Amino acid sequence: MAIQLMIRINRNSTVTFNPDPLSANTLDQIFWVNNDDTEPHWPGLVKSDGNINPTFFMPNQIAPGGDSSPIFSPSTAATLDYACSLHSGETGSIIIS
Amino acid sequence: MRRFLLIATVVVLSTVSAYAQQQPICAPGRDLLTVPEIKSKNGKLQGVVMLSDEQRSLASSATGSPCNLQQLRFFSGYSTQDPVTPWPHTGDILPGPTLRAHVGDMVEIAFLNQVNTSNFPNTLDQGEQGKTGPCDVSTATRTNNPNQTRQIYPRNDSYPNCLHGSSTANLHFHGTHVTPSTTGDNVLLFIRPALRSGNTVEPSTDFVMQQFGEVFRQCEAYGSPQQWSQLPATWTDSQKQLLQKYDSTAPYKGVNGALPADMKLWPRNDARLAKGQWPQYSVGAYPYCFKVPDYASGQVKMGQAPGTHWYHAHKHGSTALNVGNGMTGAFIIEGPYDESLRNFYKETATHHNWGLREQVLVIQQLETALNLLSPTNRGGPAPLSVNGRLTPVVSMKPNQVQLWRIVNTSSRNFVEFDSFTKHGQGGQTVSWRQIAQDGVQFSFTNYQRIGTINGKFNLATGNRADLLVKAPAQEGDYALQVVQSVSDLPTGTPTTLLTVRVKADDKKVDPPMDFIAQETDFPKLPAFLADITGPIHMKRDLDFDTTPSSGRSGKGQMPLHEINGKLFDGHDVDQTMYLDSTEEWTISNRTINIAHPFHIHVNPFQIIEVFQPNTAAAKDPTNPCYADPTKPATWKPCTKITPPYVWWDVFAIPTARQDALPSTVCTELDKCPADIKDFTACTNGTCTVTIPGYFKERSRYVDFTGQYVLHCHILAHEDRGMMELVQVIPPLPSQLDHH
Repeated sequence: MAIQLMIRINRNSTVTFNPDPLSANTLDQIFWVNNDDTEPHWPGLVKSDGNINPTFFMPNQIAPGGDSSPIFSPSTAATLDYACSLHSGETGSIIIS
Repeated sequence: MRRFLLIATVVVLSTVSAYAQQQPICAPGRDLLTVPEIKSKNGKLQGVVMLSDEQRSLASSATGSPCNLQQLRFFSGYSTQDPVTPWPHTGDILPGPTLRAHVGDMVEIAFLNQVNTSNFPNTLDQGEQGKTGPCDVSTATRTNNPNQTRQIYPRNDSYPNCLHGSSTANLHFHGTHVTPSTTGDNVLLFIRPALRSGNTVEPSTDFVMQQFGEVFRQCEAYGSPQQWSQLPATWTDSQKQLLQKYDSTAPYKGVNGALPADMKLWPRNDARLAKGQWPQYSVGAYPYCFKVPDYASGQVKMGQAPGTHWYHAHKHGSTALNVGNGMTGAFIIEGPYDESLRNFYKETATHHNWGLREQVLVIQQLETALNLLSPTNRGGPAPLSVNGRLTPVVSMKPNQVQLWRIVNTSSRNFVEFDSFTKHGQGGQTVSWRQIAQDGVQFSFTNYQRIGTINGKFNLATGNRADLLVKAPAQEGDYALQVVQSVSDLPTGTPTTLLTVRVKADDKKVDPPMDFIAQETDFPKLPAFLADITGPIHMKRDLDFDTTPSSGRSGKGQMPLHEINGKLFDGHDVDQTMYLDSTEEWTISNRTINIAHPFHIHVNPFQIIEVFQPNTAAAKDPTNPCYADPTKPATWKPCTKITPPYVWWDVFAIPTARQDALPSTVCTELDKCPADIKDFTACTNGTCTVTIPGYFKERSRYVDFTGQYVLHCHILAHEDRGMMELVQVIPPLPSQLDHH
């Protein structure tokens, strides 16, 4: 039985993802919530060449106060690094077992 | 006014003291939780049902492990007539407050939706996120290329028959015979979450309670409103402003305030209001107000059956997830039935420590992540809980009889009550006798022939049963064994639903309590619950069928669950009945592994015939009851149900049976006998016949006109289209009796 796992995007002095890293099992359902009331954010997969694929997890940015869509449900065990495709330096990872 | 200010103060306090659990606790075998009640007083059930959210402990298996904190939407509440007690935030996924009214009462429930939408994915219609449709969406990594994703949902599901909009809600008062319109048992409402800025919500609780005080006063005086304009203008104006505010600020493609015109909500309300219709969209709150009809008043043709009913969220597209979150509660409606039972078991000078102790047991199947949104299911269906806990312990005294009111609120699983384990010398055990089904008491005849001692019964989703449960003299723990399924003929390994702990104290039950044995002691069946007689004005056939999934990989399709070959469309009325008419429906099932539970709102029905093609007798060619796949005339029950009939409001349609036809009968569809062709499919020279299971029911469409629904009560099927819109309309003048 899968569960839902939320990653909060928080703004304090910097923008952080919480929890980071996120531990998940395959088939769990992962989503992001943008708690930053001032700016949108857009987590995308960090590829092996270091570039970001912005549409890997979601086709659009997350509006201030909004949540991501679609839900991401990993099929295989892996560690996925992600970063905001709108703002440099905002990074996180998901460890899937 | 003073009363409502008090209420408002308490609500604000409860909102700001949001519960935050640190460590999840899912251990099975803890004491049963008693759900707080809202009781009617002076003919009025007045209270608040609040929808909000918090972290709670969710078990992923019946063992309690893994146990995770999950953010869940939940109902809490309180009576506005009693001194307010805080809602118990134990971390358990407790059902909503038990509502307890009496036939003839007014029900006045202020329903507040204060879900924080930022705690949930797919919380509003996905159209707002810029998808191609308003359905929930999920993706997964491709197994052959983890740098790419593929869509898992919605695939071939399409709006409105898809999972969507799970923070919008309403309340269905399941089992009530009340108006389905306006402020009654109206499931066509979309009550959106209150608009939120930080910890501030609009409409505020203070404002809602002030406004609803006036709504309920008018409702008491004149009945449920007929027109939206009958509500206070201050309320209707504020709702218009809030919907317009939502329309101008909602996100679209990740940008706030960019919602396209065709996705705005106020214009939809405005269009209905222009036609004199009741609007469907509200923000933050809704005033439920209706009268529970009393047959003895002489004002109705069908009274409300006193008994065990329930309520739950019923917004199309999110019923499965919402009920999986625990958005359910028991709704007890008392009447002569209860009074008779309490009188029989009352404590007297010669009956020491008697008295009818009652247990309200809400069976739940709790989950936060529907497997339809994951690439495959993991670990099977969610485990069963009772009142928020796994295999809880119910306390009884030796030789005590209790009244158990059981509601199966599972979104999927049926629960067959099998037996209690035995204990001690002589193998003593707890025993039961069923006295009511779906909130309608048995006649004494059915108590004798169906409510036998430890007679097995199968609760499909939505079914209820009232039991007299008797503890043995021997102290000890007795485990209630149940079989879970989605079948009318459950098989499988029993599991423990709960444990009865029999333990003596200094208040000995003396003499031992026992089951009612004499007809004169059994609750008298009210006249309106006698068998339906008189002319049948209309007969109808409904056919439930599932086209199986072709998988969730590649171009795989989601399963289709249809009624009469059609999905719910949200607009067309599928069945129209005349007020005061009596009808007989044959409801069949061509699905071989799922006994779709048929449910219709407002009016219960009597089962007069049941055909189960998968019984041993029906499958045995040497048995006189054999259902021969080549002879449709044999596709009927071997034994008849004799009156008096049992009332139900959910009935699992027996599963179908598929048999291969001998090649001597046919190998191609065109050459198959005409009378079985509609039930036959041929592939590669082999033809199979599907023998549908079915039941026949009779019902009276009395007292209330209006639109409501019938549907499969496996709620993911309902959300995805196995539902019909029905209506009851006044009869034409030519159809009225003139004698």
